[in-house]
Amino acid sequence: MSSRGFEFAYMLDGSNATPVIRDFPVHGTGAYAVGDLVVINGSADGEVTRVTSTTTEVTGVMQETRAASVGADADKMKLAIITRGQVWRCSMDASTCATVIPGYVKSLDTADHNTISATDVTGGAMTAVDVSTLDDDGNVMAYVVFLDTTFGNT
Amino acid sequence: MATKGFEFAYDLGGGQATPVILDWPIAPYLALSQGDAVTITSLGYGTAVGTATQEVLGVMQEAVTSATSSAKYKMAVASRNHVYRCSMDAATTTAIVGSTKSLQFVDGNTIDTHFTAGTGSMCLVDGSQLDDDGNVLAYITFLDTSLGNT
Repeated sequence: MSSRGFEFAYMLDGSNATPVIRDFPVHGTGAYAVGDLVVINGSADGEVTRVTSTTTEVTGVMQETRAASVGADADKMKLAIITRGQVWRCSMDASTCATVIPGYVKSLDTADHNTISATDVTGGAMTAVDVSTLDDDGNVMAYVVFLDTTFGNT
Repeated sequence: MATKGFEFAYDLGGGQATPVILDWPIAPYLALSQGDAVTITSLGYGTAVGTATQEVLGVMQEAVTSATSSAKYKMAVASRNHVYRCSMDAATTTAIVGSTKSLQFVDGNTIDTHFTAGTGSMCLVDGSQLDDDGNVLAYITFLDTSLGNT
């Protein structure tokens, strides 16, 4: 099976740290799932929302689920805060990713909030650490670091 | 004796972390020693640093006599929090702890004492000790790491 969206893998500096979990208000009444990549929305009172297919800044990864139209706008949900030192893993949308060069390409993009694009290497802000394994669906299981984090960027 | 190139010293964050070791492809036919600092090519291969290399990918953890494109080799991933120690090429340096952020390489396993205003990107943490050859044993951090920069 594919990864459950973004899953924390390990710390790039070799420490045994794990992400800090905080309650954040979410935007709208839509669905959220564990593993969804979200970014803070300045025009919506600082609420977080799912990223789209063009992702530079990221805030965190959802750690709980909410069905659509069940909750209210600004409900608080558990979010794992992303930092630059963390490596996350997530399935790509294809079985090969020839243009994704680990360590060198630093603008890898998302396909959506829980999938990394195997071909868009210019629109985002992720660097692949490893793309040598496949998930059980046969797609690339990418290990990435985020370069533009809400808490730690400029 | 001089250091065996770059050796991990400690984590600047005060934790017990040690570098993550990854298997990484090395530029074909290249020879590297354990302790050599490496940068990255546009094809994603680790390769030898030059004197003024800024971006550092990691430090070799095994010797390679002639790399093959299909193989991968043990490499410690460079992180900004990591302090490495490595011998310099002279007994004194004008580098200033914390202030000099542009130290250059002599080669992959030696730091240049003279290019304190160079185009490198190492910052001196401690330069108060000498190795057994009488050269400065520098403790440094890498400021431009391949995994984590932009």
